[in-house]
Amino acid sequence: MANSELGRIQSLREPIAKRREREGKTFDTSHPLVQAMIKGAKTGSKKGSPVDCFVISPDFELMGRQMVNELRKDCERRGLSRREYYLTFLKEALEGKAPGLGNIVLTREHPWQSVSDLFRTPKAGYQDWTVVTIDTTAFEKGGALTIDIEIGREEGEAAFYLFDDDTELSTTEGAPKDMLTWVWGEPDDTRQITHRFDRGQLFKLGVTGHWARDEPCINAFRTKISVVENEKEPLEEKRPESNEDIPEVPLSELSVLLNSAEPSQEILDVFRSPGEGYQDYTVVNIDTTAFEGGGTLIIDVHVGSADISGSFDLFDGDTELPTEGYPTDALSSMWGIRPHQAGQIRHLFARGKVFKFGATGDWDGEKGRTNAFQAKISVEEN
Amino acid sequence: MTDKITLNLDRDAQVSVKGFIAPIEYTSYNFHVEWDTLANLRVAEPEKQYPASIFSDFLPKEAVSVGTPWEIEHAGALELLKQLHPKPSLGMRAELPPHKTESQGLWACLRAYNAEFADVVFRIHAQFDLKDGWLTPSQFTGHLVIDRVKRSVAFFEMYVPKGTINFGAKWKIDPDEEGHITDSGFCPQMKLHAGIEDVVQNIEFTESITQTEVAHKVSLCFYKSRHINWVSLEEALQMAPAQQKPIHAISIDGPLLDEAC
Repeated sequence: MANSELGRIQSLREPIAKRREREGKTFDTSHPLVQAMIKGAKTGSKKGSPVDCFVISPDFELMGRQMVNELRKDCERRGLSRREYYLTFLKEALEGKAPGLGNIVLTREHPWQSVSDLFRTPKAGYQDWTVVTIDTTAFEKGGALTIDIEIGREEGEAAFYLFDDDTELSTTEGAPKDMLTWVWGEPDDTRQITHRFDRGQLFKLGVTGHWARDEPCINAFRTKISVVENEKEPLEEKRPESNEDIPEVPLSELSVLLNSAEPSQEILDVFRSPGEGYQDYTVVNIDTTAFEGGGTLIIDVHVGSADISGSFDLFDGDTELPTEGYPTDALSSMWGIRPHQAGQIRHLFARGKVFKFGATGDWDGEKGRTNAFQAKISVEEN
Repeated sequence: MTDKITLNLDRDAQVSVKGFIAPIEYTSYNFHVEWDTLANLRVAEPEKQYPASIFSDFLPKEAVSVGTPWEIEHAGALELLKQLHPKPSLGMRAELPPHKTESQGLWACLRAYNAEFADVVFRIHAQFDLKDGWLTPSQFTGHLVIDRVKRSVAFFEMYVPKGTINFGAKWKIDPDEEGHITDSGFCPQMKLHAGIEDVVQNIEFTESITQTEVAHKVSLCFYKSRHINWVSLEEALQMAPAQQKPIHAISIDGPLLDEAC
């Protein structure tokens, strides 16, 4: 179906309408299938693509949308060929996952996504919602949902509310009562919502402009929505100290305690590209003091599917990790592990001690971009 | 098994062909107003005489049956296209990505015949090399009707069909800059014409297929995606609820099954 027929190319609407009138032809835009496609073109986190592929149900409800302009990026994000990815898109649409329709599906393999959209000023006392549905059901053990928000530079403040998915969003009440958490922001602000959940579920992020404004306005917002899964015990989590040079995405610092009873643990976390010449480590403290007679520390790493490679370094526990330059104090390193690739660090130690395992993005990755990594950390006792 | 016939022309006969290009009616980005070359696009030669041998290039070398496509020789088609614009090209743009090679081609198919006439339908993909860009019509299609008794051209028409969008264009605004900017639009008339169409109307053919069938057969020679059994909006509207099957729909800036975009 041509976009010009659907009226999606604004500059052609009038000349095509005139031509149809002259030629006595009509095109029924109330056709439910046409309506589904027109609706589909306006749906989702991004709008405007020269080719949109839709899956539409037998009763003409949208089930999925894939924009051709996003295809390459989507394939890379999931590490699939175009053919494999498109088949996955079709399957997910038929499974009711509504790909491309604004639903953000986060999984262990793809623990974050970005969404850009608009909010607008409602009438006084009302709400005019822009809604992003976030699916975290893949995280059965729960986790921490983080929504990093950037508000556009146009006029217009906004409130960002997080709800359970089954909460009905009222358009008439002044301020929602059933939200889980919320933040308020002005133009050019950056804000963050965090919410811990015990079990994976669907959330709604509702965004609305501030009704107290005199002038109606529309502004943009961008969010990065991510989940860090709850780890197996006995992992502790503590937040890194803030650093102005590092983007405002919290990366965890974990501790892993290994002993004879539990000589192996797995962790899932994210690393971030530091920019060329710098280091921005996600740190995992590995306590092997239980192995008094020494052993071999083995760290098997799998890098996630996002489009940056990872570098991994093992340090003594008392080493201050570098923030720039080469990690010359590292005991062992592996650099340049590409998305979907795996690598292994092995380190022989004579007596049990604490190590620091640092994960960071490669220097050639775009600064601030993140990728997931999974590490199986184990000790083979001497 | 259908009968095969041979198609021949008296190569020395002359054929007078008229050419038409109407002003472009609309484009998405107003190229037809802002780009002088496109704004002033007119037929190169309104009328021209050709030897019938030019049209022999449209005919098969061997006997053919109704519904079997064959490739057209390039020389005759190129000569005719020059009447519309002095720089036609059948090779299409050099910068086409590999998957677009299916854009290229010149194909014909015998639609119908009887003892007196044979109706050949053809489809040609070509573009015009403009002074500062390209113009790519969606396709050139048409009929070549042969008088089998007189071995002459009874009727010839080659035209760009009237789709909502029926051409694409690339404009190199700054010759020092790399790349082009693109647009697409509608030209109401771009055609070559010889003879009187009435000659084949109301004729009872010995064997024939419909215009829709022959157009489908010829389009299969170009695009792999044509092998998908696309259905119209109206058909999908009825079939989906009746069969309880979901719809896989593609919404696209340019037509999928021609070269307009």
